[in-house]
Amino acid sequence: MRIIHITGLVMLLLLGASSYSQEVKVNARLDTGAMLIGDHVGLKLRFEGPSGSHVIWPAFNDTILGNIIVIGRSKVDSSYSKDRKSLTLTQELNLTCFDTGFYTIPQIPFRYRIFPDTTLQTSSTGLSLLMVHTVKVDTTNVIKPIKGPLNIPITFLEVLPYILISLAALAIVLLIIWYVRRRKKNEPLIRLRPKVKLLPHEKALQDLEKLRTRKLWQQGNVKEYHSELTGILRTYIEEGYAVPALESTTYEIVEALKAQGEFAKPLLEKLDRVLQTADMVKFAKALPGPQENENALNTGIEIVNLSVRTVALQHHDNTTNQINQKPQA
Amino acid sequence: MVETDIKALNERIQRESAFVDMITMEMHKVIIGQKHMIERLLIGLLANGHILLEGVPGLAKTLAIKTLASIIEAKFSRIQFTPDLLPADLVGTLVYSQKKEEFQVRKGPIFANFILADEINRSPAKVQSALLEAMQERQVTIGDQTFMLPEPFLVLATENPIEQEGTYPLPEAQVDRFMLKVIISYPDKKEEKQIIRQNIGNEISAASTIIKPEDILRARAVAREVYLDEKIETYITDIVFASRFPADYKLKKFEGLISYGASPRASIYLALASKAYAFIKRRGYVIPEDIRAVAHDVMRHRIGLTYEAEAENITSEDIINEILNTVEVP
Repeated sequence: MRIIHITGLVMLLLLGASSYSQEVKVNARLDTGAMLIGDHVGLKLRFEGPSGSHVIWPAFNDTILGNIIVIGRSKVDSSYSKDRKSLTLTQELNLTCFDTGFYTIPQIPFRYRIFPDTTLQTSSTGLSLLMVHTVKVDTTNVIKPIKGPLNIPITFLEVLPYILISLAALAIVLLIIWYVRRRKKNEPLIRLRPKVKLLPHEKALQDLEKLRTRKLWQQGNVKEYHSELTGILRTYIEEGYAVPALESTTYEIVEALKAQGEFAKPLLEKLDRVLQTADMVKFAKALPGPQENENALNTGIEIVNLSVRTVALQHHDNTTNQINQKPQA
Repeated sequence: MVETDIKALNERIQRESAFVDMITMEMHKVIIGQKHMIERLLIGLLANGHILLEGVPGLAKTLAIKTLASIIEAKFSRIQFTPDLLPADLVGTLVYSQKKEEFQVRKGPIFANFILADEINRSPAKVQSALLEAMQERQVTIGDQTFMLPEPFLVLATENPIEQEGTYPLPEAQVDRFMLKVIISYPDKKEEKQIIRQNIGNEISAASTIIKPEDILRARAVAREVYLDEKIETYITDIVFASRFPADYKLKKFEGLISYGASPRASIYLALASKAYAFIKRRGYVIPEDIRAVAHDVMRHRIGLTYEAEAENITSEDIINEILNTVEVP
């Protein structure tokens, strides 16, 4: 038991000796002890201690002693020794002074803790002396006038905004000239390529031929085939005969065309047959034979071809009316 | 043309729907004109939906339903809705029997196949609710006993468009339960002359009983089998959606005029009524014409109008017409 107590005491003593053996060094060193008025001088702060040190770095105002101005400060730089047992922290301050005289930079306190000890300890740097001289005036020489401002060459980046503004102004002027000339000539601002609008029968015939090439019923899409076929014919009737065929039923379409009297009776019967067949396919699961499918398309083409003259005339009349009305408007 | 199961269905419908022409013929023995109303009565009968009739007095509403009941050999009840009518007067009540010393159920006039609820808007909400609940549930609870209503069960409620003072207008939710709202108009001159002749003559026309309620139930089952293609379903939903979101269907002008569009019941009833209509036309499949034929009667009481619409004299009829003229037919 006694042996254990003695061993513990020895260990405690050893631990205390090692903590005290961890030496901390702080210093503040000026680059030079004398400088000309307005000149710059560096003040290097340095902390050296064990790697577990936690340092509260001294804070500086903008001036030291009121006359010495801190014009720059570097970041606190840290570095470890190779064995990572000691830590060195440094910071460089850039100082200047505009008053001649002899200055004593006071002690700078560094407060720190060394792990695992939580006690806040303080070490201070020594005093630093700084002599600020004035420039000696040579009274033997003639006093010369103050030098004029120096000419600095102009760079391209400085000129670039002026170039861009000038180009933009030039472009605006050219655009205005172009616009005024167009207006004088009564020409449109942008010349779009005129869209070729097909006449209803041309469009219908084109769509019907396209439908044939798609071979829908041959692929088993009979319902889609008849829906598209009647869709083309209904669009043709709507555009060519001003009958709202897309929003009407087969019966209503036939009745409206009958009332209009434009379609010949046999043609109307054919149209009725095509639409009725399509209705049976669309709504009653009917499956026409290949010949019937082919006939439906051929009849559709025949209907468009036989009614084309009237439609074309109607369009021609409309166009003529528009042309005739234009000067009056 | 190769047809599949539709052909067989068509043939079956041809057979089963033969009675339709006979009913129509018998009805016309008694009722002059009113073809539209008779057709709608048949749709209601076949699609198992109730009908709200609107028309001025004296347009043969009661006679039509009475005649239909006699043709079908069914029980008919006429209930005149008055402000002092009670739900018990309609559904029945428990009566104490001194002889048996117990309460006995006395069934009300609602226990019939055909009910004519005359001037339904003259009774307060509690009586209307009792009727509408019976219409929906097809059963009535008296005391602690629940009784199923007989089949077929068809309610025809009438509303008088004039004399609105002291009436209890049916709320929108209640009106929605009627499959069709049929507007009855005056007969034309020729029909009016025939009505005079028929009523001043010595011979009283009577319809014969030609069909039994079971036949109607069988016909209903067949009518439900009528084929409704997916394209027609799309057409129905387009029509209903156009009443809800008119701007999506190039009907932006109606945007501020419709306060609420048709409910999903409208879609269901459009499908059912069009199937029944196709059956009446002896067809095994529905075509867009069928939808257009029943659209007004199914939708007119399901579209709510704003104050602006009323100020501009725009009716639900105008809106339905425009919808039908704008929505693309498949």
